[in-house]
Amino acid sequence: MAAAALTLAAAGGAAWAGPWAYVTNQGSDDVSIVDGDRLTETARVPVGRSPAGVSVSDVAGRAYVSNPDGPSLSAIELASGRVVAEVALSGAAVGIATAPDGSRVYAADWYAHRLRVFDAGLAPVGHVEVGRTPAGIAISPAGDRIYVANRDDDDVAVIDAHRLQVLARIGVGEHPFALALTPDGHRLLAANVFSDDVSVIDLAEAREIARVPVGSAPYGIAFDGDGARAFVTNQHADSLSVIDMARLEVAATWPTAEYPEGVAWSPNRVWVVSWMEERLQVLDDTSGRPLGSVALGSNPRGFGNFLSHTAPPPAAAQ
Amino acid sequence: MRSTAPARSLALPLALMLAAPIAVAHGPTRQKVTETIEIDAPAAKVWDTIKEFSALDAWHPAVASSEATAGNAPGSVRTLHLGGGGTIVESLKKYDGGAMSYSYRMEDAGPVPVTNYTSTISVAGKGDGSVVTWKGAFYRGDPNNNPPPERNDEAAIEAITGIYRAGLGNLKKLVEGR
Repeated sequence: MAAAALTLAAAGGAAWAGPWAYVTNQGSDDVSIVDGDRLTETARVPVGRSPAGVSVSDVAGRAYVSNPDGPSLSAIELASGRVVAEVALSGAAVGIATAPDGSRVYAADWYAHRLRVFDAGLAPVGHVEVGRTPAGIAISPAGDRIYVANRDDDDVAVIDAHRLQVLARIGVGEHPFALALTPDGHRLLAANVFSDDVSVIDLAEAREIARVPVGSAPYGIAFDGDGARAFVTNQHADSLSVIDMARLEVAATWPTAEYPEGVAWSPNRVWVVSWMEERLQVLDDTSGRPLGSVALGSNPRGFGNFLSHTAPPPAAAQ
Repeated sequence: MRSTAPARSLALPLALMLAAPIAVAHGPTRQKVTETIEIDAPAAKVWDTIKEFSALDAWHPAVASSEATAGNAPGSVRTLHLGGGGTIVESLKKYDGGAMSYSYRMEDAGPVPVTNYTSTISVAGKGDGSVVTWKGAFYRGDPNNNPPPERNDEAAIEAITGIYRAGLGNLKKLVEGR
């Protein structure tokens, strides 16, 4: 994988297979699988009602999806493009994430105010009480800590993944929704939808060390490969803020399609889901120049890690 | 496009109006409505009719009177007094006269069964005429699980669709002089 990424960097983005994107279409109850190399939608997979959150795990070979109006979770097998598991929830989850080793799936239950834990086959294995209206989830590289944004409590819960206990709650800005962790696991960002800024948490110190003003209604966060830059979608500003992580300030703001939501990074590229225009935009990651876009289903969200490096079989590319 | 009556959507019982939450919490499924209408008049003429943020009463049949605190400056707050009873309060977020577009957010939805509503209205030329696009993004009125039918996703979409269609239909009549 690293070799492929280096090849892309050297070739300036040409002739690199993938990544593949799994974007939740909340209005059409399905997931668009997009070939990121050819910029085409290769399949549309029906899941549960109103899919919003997504967590692709190449290790688990699954794309896990939250369906808040089901309410349920679905697992799509990357190799086949088929739904291979589904579990009903009593509450409803939006935020969803997978442990780095692929052994656990975490879903933030919006109404029950708890983080639910499942195995890779979506069998329930436990839960932990968190704050009010938990939304985005991030997981440490070692898988031993889970971070959950308590949207209506304006804080982030730090959870021991093995004992399923809340170790700390760290105050952030107003209405934190998306979370993202630097690749080294040292710093956690929270997108504060109502205060129009991004909280930077130093995890060793367990406190917020900066609050970076971005655009109106920040909704998604993605890091580049070495964590030098964070890309933040500003839903009401139709823009993407690029945060310089060394200086902790916005280095650039690029225009996007309307209502940008989910965001992801791959070498040389930033992927942005436009909820209003129903397309996946590809931007150059140094200039913000639009490189292309792909039509999606209705009301796409792509909230979570939606990129995969596992090629779907030709059968899925109908 | 048919101009369906908005009265049913707007003239909700008083009890429901009073129950309308000002809280900002919302459910997990955001909805949107986009309505467009073609008008047989130049875009500049259409924009002239709708460009005052304060003056929705000049062209929307459901609005009996309206006023705004700061004209077309972002941050301006307009109050819409509805003919069917009730009041809506909205704030201007973006205004671009050159692009013939403005965006705003509902601060108090009054009788409209939505929360966290944002909207953009814009005019563009099309041939010798023009096309007006009115877009809204919002959550249903009741953010909880299993909302009552009058405050669920369908009710929210129906209310906003009714408001847009009534407004655009009347705008077309006014501008075309028919």
